[in-house]
Amino acid sequence: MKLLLSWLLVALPLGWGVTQSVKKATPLFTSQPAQAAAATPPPSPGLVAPTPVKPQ
Amino acid sequence: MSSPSSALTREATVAPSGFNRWLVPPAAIAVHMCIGQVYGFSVFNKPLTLALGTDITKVQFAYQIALMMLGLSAAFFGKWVERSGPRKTMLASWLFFCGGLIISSLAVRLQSLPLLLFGYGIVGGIGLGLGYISPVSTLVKWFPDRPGMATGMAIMGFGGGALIGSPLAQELMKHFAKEGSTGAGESLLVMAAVYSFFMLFGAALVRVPAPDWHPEGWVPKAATQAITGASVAVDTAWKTPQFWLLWIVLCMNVSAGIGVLGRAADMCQDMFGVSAAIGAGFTGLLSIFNMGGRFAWSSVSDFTGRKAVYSIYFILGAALYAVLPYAQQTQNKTLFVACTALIISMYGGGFATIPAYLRDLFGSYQVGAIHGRLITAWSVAAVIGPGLINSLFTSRVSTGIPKAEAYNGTFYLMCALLGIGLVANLLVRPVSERHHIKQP
Repeated sequence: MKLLLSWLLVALPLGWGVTQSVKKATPLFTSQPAQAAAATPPPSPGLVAPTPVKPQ
Repeated sequence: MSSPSSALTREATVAPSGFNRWLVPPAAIAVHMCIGQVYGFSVFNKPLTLALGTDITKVQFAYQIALMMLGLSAAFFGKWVERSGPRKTMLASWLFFCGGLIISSLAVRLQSLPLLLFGYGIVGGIGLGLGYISPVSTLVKWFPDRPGMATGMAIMGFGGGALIGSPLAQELMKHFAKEGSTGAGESLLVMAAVYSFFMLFGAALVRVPAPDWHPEGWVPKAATQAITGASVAVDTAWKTPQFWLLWIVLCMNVSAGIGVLGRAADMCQDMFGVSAAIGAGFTGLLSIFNMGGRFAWSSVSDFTGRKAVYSIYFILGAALYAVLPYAQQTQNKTLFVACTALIISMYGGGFATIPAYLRDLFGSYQVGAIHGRLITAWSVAAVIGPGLINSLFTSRVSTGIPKAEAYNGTFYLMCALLGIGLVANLLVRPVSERHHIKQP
């Protein structure tokens, strides 16, 4: 019982912290890019796809 | 009747027969997840800047002093930690760390930046160093069969501390904020109380094994090429080439990891045009991998050996860094997230595996103190890593390279740092027998 309680006491706050971070990370996989954020000159050789252009 | 102070001695903490060794990791995690709050200090940047009427760089200085003091106190107090045992050290860590939070709260009330730097930076920083090394040697002695896993659990707690500290501080400040107050002072005070509970719990629970104790049914393996059966004292250890090779190994691994971690949110936004909220989410995701990697990789090292696992960190890490420019060029966000998450897991793994590597080379006699001196590599890496990356990034942007592509150069720099680490790791050989002590 002591062993179980000891592990619970540290697992609960850690679990809460992980849950908060997962919630924070969710938009990473659910949202589309909000706006182009990188300023890019004409694509340089070797670029497979041009990077988005950021308004200056 | 024994005095309260005698209950703190190493002798008083020797476990009775039948003590369950699995009670020791939660004690260690309890302390580490509290002091890991330092990683989440950035949530106080803005509120403290407002409360103290100063600028953000001066507030951030408190964090930098704390990390510097972590390294220095771990190095200077390592021998005292070995002599005093884990309980006294954890209590000292509690006094300094929570004392530092209380002084910081007072600094907010008095609107004194110097008091904040003294409280959070110096006093709290000493608590960080003592707390960080306090359970290492105890865990290694309790788990001679799985030292990597055991120290990995504690150091995972440190990584988890950031996941707890940031949202906790945000919730508290939201609760205490009112007209004319950010709530930072009150939040620091409540955090001191909450962390006191967990740190005192850890100190009360921790035990050291009896000198002749070993796990049931476990037979010590004969010393091998990679693992010594002898012991080396801390004052001798730090004069050996092996110590400095491991110092380089840790320094390079940390510097390379900070390359991503330090600029994660900006990097994600600049390279993929995502919003600030998604950038913050990316940082949160990396923190989870940082924490998980500490436990996973250090546990793996018990099976592969330490040298092999560090070689994986360096070779795989460099390969993944080399893939990141391709992920940017193809705008493959999933590939980028997967690679960086794996890199950060190995960054965490590097921290967590080093105590077991030290134990393999120098024995368990003063491994906590040796670990304390090695942590100076972290302090140095915390300065040179971001410095190198920021200066290279800035210089590339100033030459007209778009931000999205400017990071690519820094990724190749990370590959080079990991290459140096790999060479240092491959040069590690067993410590010469002339350094072994006869009767620890």
